[in-house]
Amino acid sequence: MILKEDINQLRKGILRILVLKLLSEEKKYGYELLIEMDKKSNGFFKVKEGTLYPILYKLEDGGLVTSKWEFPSDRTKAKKYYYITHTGRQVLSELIDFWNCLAVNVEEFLCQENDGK
Amino acid sequence: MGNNLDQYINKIYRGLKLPNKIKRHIKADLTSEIYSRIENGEELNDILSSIGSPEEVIAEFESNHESEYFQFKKTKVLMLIVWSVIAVVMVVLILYSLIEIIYPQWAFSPVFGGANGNQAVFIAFKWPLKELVFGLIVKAVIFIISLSQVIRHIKFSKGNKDVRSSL
Repeated sequence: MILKEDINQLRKGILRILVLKLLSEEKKYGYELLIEMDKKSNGFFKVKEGTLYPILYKLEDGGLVTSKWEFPSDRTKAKKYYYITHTGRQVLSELIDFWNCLAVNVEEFLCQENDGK
Repeated sequence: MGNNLDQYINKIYRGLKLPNKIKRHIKADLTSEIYSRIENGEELNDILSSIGSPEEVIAEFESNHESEYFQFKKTKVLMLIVWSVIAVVMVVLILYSLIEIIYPQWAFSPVFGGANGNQAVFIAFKWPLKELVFGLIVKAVIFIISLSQVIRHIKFSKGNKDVRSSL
């Protein structure tokens, strides 16, 4: 039970970075994000709508992402596109630096622990 | 197709125990996603089963909006207390109004006045029957409204347990 909660918390934090990364490439709508997240992670980050949209709303509340309804020329219904903001790009770059640092340090830490055994 | 989709979306919208602003976002995003998938050639039933049952969708959204969910729940409990107090006060006032109408001699009458030397003037006031009845109707309406709100909030708390326990 605790393990599941820990994994969920870790995943949520990482998903925020991944969503920002995908939006930094191009504007996207919700379903597009779900598909790309699944494809690019080979199914590891296959998330449901109930997980993705709350992340987008929180990023939007924080001013890192903005949304706009648009009518694509070949569609009859409007789609809600999400865009990364200037602040979002700055935060993403800081998060990537932090992630690289974190990954190296955690890896080193875990390896040391194994060596000690 | 439209009916199925509307039923699905409305069930989620009504079931979500979140602030209306977030609920409207969720409704708009889910509807938009489903329509784009239909336009891409997917079948509605396949789309709905891949998204999950309304109960699953509600549980997932609520668990990812945990702070808003608990804040919303707290507000609902507070509203339940407020409406319950209003309902109880109205019951007391209605009973008192009935006493005023049926047994006017038992009701308190406001008395104004004063004394100066050996002269004293006091005026007792009683509401006319027509106004008492009007007051009774107003209190009864407020009581019915508050009672319906109390029932609504109690139903909300019960519904809450059902959805969260499915997590």
